[in-house]
Amino acid sequence: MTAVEEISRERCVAASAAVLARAERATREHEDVFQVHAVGLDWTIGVRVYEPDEIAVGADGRRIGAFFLHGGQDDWRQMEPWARTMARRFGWKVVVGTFPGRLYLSDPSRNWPGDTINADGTVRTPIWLDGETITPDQYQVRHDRSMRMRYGTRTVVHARPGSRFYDRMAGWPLAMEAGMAHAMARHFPSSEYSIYVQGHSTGGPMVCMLSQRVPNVQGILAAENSPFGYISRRQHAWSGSLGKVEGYERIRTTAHDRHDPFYELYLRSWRDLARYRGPEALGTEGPSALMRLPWLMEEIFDEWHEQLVRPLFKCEYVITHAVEESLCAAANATADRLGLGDAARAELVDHYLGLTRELRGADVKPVPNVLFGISRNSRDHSRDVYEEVIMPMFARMDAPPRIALQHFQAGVHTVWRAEPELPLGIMPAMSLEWDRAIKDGYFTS
Amino acid sequence: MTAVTDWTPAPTISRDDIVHASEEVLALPDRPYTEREDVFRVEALGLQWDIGVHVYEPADPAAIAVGGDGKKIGGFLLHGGQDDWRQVEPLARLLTGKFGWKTVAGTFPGRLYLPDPSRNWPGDTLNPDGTARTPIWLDGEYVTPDQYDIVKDAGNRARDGVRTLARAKPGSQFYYRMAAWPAAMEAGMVEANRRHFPVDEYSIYFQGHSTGGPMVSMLCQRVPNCAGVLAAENSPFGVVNGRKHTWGGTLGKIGSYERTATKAPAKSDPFNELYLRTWRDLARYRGPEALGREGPQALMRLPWLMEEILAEWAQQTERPRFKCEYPITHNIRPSLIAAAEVSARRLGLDEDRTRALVEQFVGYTEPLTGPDVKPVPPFLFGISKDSRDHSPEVYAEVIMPLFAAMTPPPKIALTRFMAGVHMIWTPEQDLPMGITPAVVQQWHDAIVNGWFVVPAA
Repeated sequence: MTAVEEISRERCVAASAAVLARAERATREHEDVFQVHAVGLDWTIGVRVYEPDEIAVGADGRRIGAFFLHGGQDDWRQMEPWARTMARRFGWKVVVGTFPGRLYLSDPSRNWPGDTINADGTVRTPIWLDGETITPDQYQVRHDRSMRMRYGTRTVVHARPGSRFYDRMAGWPLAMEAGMAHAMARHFPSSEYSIYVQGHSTGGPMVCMLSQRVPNVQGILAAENSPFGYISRRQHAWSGSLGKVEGYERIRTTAHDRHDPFYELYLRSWRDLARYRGPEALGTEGPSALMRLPWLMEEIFDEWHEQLVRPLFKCEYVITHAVEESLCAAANATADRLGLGDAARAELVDHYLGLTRELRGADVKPVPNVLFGISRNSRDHSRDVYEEVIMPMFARMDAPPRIALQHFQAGVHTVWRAEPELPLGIMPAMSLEWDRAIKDGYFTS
Repeated sequence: MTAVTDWTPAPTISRDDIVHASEEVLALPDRPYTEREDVFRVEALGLQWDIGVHVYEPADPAAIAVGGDGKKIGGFLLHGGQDDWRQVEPLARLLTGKFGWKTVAGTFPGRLYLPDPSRNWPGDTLNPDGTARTPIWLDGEYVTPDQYDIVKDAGNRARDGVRTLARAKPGSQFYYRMAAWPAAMEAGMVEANRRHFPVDEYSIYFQGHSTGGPMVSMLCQRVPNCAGVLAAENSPFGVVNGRKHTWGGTLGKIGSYERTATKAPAKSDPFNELYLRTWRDLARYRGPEALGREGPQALMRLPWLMEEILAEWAQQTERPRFKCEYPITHNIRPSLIAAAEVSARRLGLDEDRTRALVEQFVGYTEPLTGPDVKPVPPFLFGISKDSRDHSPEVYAEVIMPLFAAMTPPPKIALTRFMAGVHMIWTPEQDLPMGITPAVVQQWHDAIVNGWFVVPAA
C-alpha cells in the first residue's frame, strides 16, 4: 500500500457491488448498558454489539474486533449500517459505543422525544446516569454568532456553576475514557481479539485517545475520522475552520481557534446539516447547486426532521479541538469538587490535557498503525490538509506509526450516504480496503 | 414638444458610477410630498372589484417635474408577483421626494388586505389547520376553505422547491374570481391612471417589477398617455417572457456561470390555481444572487445563507405572498382561454362574445397590433448584475430581438448596471438602496432629455 492511494469512482462502484453481493452471515445484535465510576460520579454507558456466529481472523491470527464511535451529534445508530456490513459481510465482531450522556435511557427505543430546542425555551440535555435529569434551572440559553460562516447562529446552553450539570460537563471526559475502555474490555478479551477502532468525525479524536489506552487496539481505521485533538485543531486552522472542497480554493487560510468553555452544550439544528450539505453540493454538483437552493433547503429540512430522534447535542470540542484552557478549567472544577490537593490536581490537569494528544514515554503503548480514508467531497477532510498537516504531524511523533491515506473519488463526509450506483455510499469500498489491510498484515508491521 | 434628443442610455454602468450616482441622488434635497391611499371600485365581467393604489404627490402641484415632451411626469409602478404597493414604495418615495414626479403605486386586484387599515395580512400564507391565505377581491367577500383544495406541486423543484397551491373548486366564487381577475387587472389599473394622471397634463412612465412587468407591458397600449416603460428588472410581455424563461430552462443564468438548463417545458398553470408563497420563493433568488455576488463559496456558508432567507421571510409574512398571474406572465394560452370561457359561461355570453372575450384574454400577453392601435411606447430596459432571470444573454438572444420584430417596433435600449440584484433596492456595500438611485437617475435623465419622445409617424 502506497502512502497516498487514489481510489477511482469505478473502483468504489465495483467494490460496493462486490461487497453487497456477499452472502450475509448470521449475526446477533444486542445492547449492553453498564455503569462506570469516574471522577467520583457514576455514569451509565451503553454500547451496541454485533456478533457473527463465526468471527473472522486477521493476519496476526487473532479474531477481528472493531470498536466504532459515532460523530459529534449522534449515538450508536449512526454507525449501525457500517457495523452490520462488517459483521454480516465480513464476519467481524463490532461494538458501537455511544458517548456518555447520549443514550436516551428513558425509553428502550432510545428515541429522543421532541426537538433539541423547545418552544418554551428549554432544551434537550444529556442523560449521564439513568434517572438523573438536568432541570432548566441548571443552565442558561445563549446564541452565538461568532462562527457564523461555518455554523450560522449556534444555540448553546451554559451550565450554571454548582449545578450537577456543571459537574457532569466538567467530568465527562474521564467518563468517556473509562466507559469506552471498559466496553472494549467487556467484549474483546485481550487474549482473543485484536481491535480496530474507527471514529466518525468527532468520534475520531476519541478513538485516537483510546488507541493507546486499550492494550489490544491494533490499528486505527481512520475513515473520515478526525485525528488527535491537537492535530485536529491544526487541521481546522489550515482552512480557517471553513474546510476545502476539491476543485475549489480555500476561502480562508488564517487560524480561527476555538474557545468553547467546558460548561457549554451545543444544541444542534438544521444548520449542522447545512454546513455539510452546502460544501458537499458544491463538490457533487458545482456552483449550480445555488440555482436550486429551495430544493436543497427542503432536503436539509427533511433530513433534519428525520433525525430528531437522535441526540443532536454536543460538548466534545474541548477534546476534539484541543481547547486546552477549557480542559484545564474542567479539570480544576472537578478537582475543586473532589477536594484534591495540589499534586492530585496537577495530575488531573495533565490527565485531561493528555486526552488530546498521543501518550509519550518509554512505557507507553505506541500509537498503532493508521489507515486514513477520505471521501471526494468532505469539507474538513481534503487530501491537501492530510498531506500538508495531518500526515506530517503523525510522522513527527516520537514513535511514528505506519500511516497511509486512501482517497476515494466518490462520497461525502458521511461515507454511507447513498449516491448513484453507490447505495451505501463509499462505505462498502472502505470496508473492503479495511478487511484487506487487516488480513494482509498492514496493521501488524 | 421638445425635439428628439441625442441623449442615449449607456449600455453598461460600472459599479463605481452606480455608487457615485447613489451618493448624488441620496444627497439631493428632499422635496415635500404627500402620500395617500386611493381605494375605488371597478366593474369587470359582471363582478365588482376593489382596487387600491398609493399616491405620492409633490406638496406643491406646480413643482411636479416636467419631461422632455413638456408634460408633467407621472410614474405608475406595479409590484412583483407576491406583493402589494409597499414593495415599490422605496422607489416611489425616491421618484417623488428627490425628483418631483407624481407617482402612483398600484396593487394587483385581491392583494390589498382590506379588513385592516394597516393592510398587514395576519398570520402566514399556510396555516397550521391546513387552510391558506386567499385574495380579497371585494371588501367583505372572503374565500372560505370549502372553495379550494390544497395541492402540492414538485413539478419544477429545481427552481421552486415544492409549491403549495390552493386550487379553486369549479362553481365557487373563488373559481369565478380566478377566471375573471385578468379583466379586473386591466380595468382597475387603467382607471387608476385615469383618476390620477389626466391625459392633457401628464405623460406616464410605467415600471413593473418582475411579474408587474408583463402587466405594465399590457397596460402601456391601453392607457393613452403612457409615454414609455421604465423596464428595470421588469419582465416583458407574457409572450416574450415565456420565451425568456424557456431560454434558461426556467433556472436562468448568473454572471459567467453556464446555464444549468437550456430546455424547459412550457408552464401550464391552470387559471384556478393560487400559489401560496413560502421561504422557497426567497431562496430561489437568494441562491443565484449569492452565486453572483460571492461565487461558489457561498455554499461554504450555507447555514448563514439559510438563516438570512428564513429571517427575511419572517419579516415578510404581513405582505400578501400569493400569486396567480402565470397565465398572463408566461403566456399560458390554454389557461387564459379556459378562464375566458368560464367567465363567458357564467355571464351567458353567446358564441361571438365568447370568442371576443377569449381574444381579449389572450391579448393580455402580447402587443396589440393594427392600424388604430396605439403603438408600443419606448422601453428602456435595465438589468442588475446578479439577476437569475434577467441576464444580458437572454436580453441579447431573446427579448430584444422579439421587441425588434414587433409591428411597429418600439424604441428600445438596454443598460446593464454592474451591481445589484433582481430587487434593485436591496442594499449592498456602499449602496444603501441598492442600484435604485442610479436606475432612477437614468430614468429621470432619459425623460427630461426626451429619449421617450417619439417623432410622429
